[in-house]
Amino acid sequence: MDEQYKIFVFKSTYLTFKAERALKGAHVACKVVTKPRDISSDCGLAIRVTALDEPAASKVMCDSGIASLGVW
Amino acid sequence: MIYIDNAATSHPKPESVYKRMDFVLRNASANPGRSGHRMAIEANRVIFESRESVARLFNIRHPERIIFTCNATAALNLALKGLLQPGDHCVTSDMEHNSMVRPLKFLSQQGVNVHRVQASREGSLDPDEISSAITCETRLIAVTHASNVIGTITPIADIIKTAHNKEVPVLIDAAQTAGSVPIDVEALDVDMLACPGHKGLFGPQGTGFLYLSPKINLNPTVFGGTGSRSDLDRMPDFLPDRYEAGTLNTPGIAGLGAGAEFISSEGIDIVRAHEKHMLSRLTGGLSGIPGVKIYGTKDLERRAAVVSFIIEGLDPAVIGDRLDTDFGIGVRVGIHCAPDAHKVIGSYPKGTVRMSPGYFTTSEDIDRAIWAVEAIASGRENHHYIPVSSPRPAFPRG
Ligand SMILES: Cc1ncc(COP(=O)(O)O)c(C=O)c1O
Repeated sequence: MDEQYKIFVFKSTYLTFKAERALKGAHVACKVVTKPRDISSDCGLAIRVTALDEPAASKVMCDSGIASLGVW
Repeated sequence: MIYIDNAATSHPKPESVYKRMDFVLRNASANPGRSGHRMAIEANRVIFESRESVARLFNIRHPERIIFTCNATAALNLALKGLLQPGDHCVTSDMEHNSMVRPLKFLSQQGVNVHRVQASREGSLDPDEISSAITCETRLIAVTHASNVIGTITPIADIIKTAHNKEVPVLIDAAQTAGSVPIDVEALDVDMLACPGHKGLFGPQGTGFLYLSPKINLNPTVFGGTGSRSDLDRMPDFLPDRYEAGTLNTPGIAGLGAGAEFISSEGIDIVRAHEKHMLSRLTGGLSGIPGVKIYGTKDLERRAAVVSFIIEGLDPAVIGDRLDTDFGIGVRVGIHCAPDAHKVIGSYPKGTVRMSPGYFTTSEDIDRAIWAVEAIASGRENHHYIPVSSPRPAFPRG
């Protein structure tokens, strides 16, 4: 996987978009992407941020009570 | 034409609803939740935003517990069939629409015991009577928030309180109130709320939703693809996916979201005040016409914007035809999918003429309707209507 990016995975699409909104609100650049196959066999979506932004993104998620299933 | 049939479905819609649907249908109508390309992601975002907008209007803390359906009927079916098992007891009323009556009849044939509490002749339900119908097997109380025949508003706050004292959840059919009468889901502690998207919420036909509180767990009633946990052969255990199998009505839900936003920005109290004003003008005018009998309560605080009446000696179907053909006024006649409610008020089997103003109904619309009814009741033809109020404002707004 691309080392430059981190992928946040959520339980549902709803939470993925909730996270996107929270990140945008906090001015953390992010992109909704298809979950990479090596993370999940699911056909769902995930959120990609730069590796540099990962701590900021994690904090936004923590502050807004959005639980991710993990970061890859 | 003059449209006074908003209890069936609202017309017109706010301009923003037409615009949002047109935009989404042209630019974001990929399959939400299925693919990962930009248009599919945009479609997903449209669904997300609409869910948030609906949640805001009803003060719902957990938007993901809003399940989009194709109408109120589908929402009621999911709630009833997803919850009730053979041997369970369910308390309902005799003011219900067939979308409640028929699934409950089906379930009673499967072994669910359905108890119907009687409403007064004005269509009101007594919370104490509902409470005393509760047994230790009672699994659900299922009632309409307002009658679609005479508009009588059910005191849901009191019913929910007494039901919760006995730990019984309540299903509210808000088909006649969603978008027109304020409903604060969190303050009322609503367990389940079934709403059409196409009436007071100003979405298009083919939309609706069921809200489920965190205390409620239903069996899914439709099974299939959700785009999530596709590795499983069963429905995901998280919401809304658990109850949203199959491709959603993305352009419709976009319109529903725009409708909910329109009401939030106008203010639902303003919507209610306007509808009450129309209701008061209509009932006031009709009640002065010899031979006209209006059903239901005179207390407009306890009434949604629905008026049922008859003209003595005339078949409601004939009145409806004349209103349409001779006066260009669209209303609904008959028994309005609620035969039992007509039995309660004493208008079965012929039914009534139902006029249901909406937010876009003007005083002039109402005055014309009153004038038309007066003409029909007195046997006159339609020729010389003289407007008495200001000209209609430019609409639809939004
Ligand atoms: C009280 C009531 N419940 C349920 C419904 C069914 O709504 P829908 O047509 O969206 O399924 C209606 C609509 O007429 C109604 O008036």
